[in-house]
Amino acid sequence: MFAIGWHDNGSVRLEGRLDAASAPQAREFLAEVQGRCRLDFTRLDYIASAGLGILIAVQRRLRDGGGGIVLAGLSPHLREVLSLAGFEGIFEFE
Amino acid sequence: MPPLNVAARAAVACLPVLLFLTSLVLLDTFRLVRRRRVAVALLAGGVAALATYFVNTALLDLTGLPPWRFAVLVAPVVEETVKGAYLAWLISTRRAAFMVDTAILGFAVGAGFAIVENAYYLSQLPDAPLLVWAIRGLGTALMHGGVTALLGLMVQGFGERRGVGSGRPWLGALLVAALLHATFNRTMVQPIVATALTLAFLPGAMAVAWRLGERRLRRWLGRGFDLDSELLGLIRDGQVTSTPVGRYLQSLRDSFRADVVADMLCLLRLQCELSLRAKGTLLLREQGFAPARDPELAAKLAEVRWLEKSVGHAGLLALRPLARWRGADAWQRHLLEEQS
Repeated sequence: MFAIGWHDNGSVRLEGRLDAASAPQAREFLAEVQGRCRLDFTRLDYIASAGLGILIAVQRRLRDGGGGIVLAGLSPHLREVLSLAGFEGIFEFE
Repeated sequence: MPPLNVAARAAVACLPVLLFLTSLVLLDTFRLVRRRRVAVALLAGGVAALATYFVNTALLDLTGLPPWRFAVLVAPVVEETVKGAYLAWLISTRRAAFMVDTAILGFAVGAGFAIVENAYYLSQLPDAPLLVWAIRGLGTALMHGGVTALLGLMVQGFGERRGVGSGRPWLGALLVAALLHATFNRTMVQPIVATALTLAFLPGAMAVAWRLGERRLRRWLGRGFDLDSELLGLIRDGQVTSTPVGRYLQSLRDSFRADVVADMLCLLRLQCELSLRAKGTLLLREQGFAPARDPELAAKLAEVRWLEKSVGHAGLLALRPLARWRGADAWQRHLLEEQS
């Protein structure tokens, strides 16, 4: 199962598994995001490369407009994978 | 002949193939091919043209065939083989591992060949009408580029199942390439027909193969990234022993010393890390980002080489079922070495 939506504190919360099957849902939701945006991954169990591809595309769009994504609540494993993949300089991490 | 006229003829004869090559390079979403490598491929094509000039001249004397029959029966085999030689090196050394980069580099070799060939004909026939050069530019040059690109696409496309190292994909691909080339030369008795056929067939064939190549590349990228991420997580959390990978590694203890098996696990983990780095680079490039510099990358690559030596050839063979570093995965090593 995958869910994405606005949280009371103004960040976007992702829950469950962001994989190839749920990628369209995430892409559609994040297409509306503007400016600076905090993504809360605390309840995200798994993210596949399809999900990462969406985050990078959204980051490209927001950066071109002067904004950007902040990735918060990443699991240690996911944090390590993003670092190993060379995403350090691309996203802001919290 | 006034220089302007010569320049016009040269432009008409060479611009179409260079424009087509430029469009292929721009279509390279993941920027698999560096500009420098395209330039070297163009050069290799030019050298191939010079080489085949001498080979064809010698064979023409040797066979005694009439020129038009030689152009249909012998020249295509010679030219496609010589053009294919540089492509064979790129593929066998994994500098070209996908259909997309192989198509670009194959087309560049063919384009370089056609430019040198056109320059030669221009020196021999400076007064030939502009239409002749339009046909050479839109027909012969595109044929040379397209056929060599299709040669590479067929080798990568068929090679994926048999392992690109095996000769069988090459023989079949060379045969088809020489056949296409010979068909073009055969129809050159009606040059406009030959050019029209090339323009009708080539872009379509390239588009179909290109789309197939991109789909395979995305599948390799997505599945590979997820597998590497998953395996890394298992190794990291110490859960790998309860998985098929772990049980397989355990079984190796019967054949290898404990310290070698430990090196195997280190090698596996490092390969996952480097594989994530290479695939992360492609994911970022697709959106116009460059990966963050990794000061440890050179050291990691050195450690992989050391571990490979430590586990030895037999160890690498034993790791083969788990190895990420074959075919397109081995291409990753070149990508990372360019970054380190």
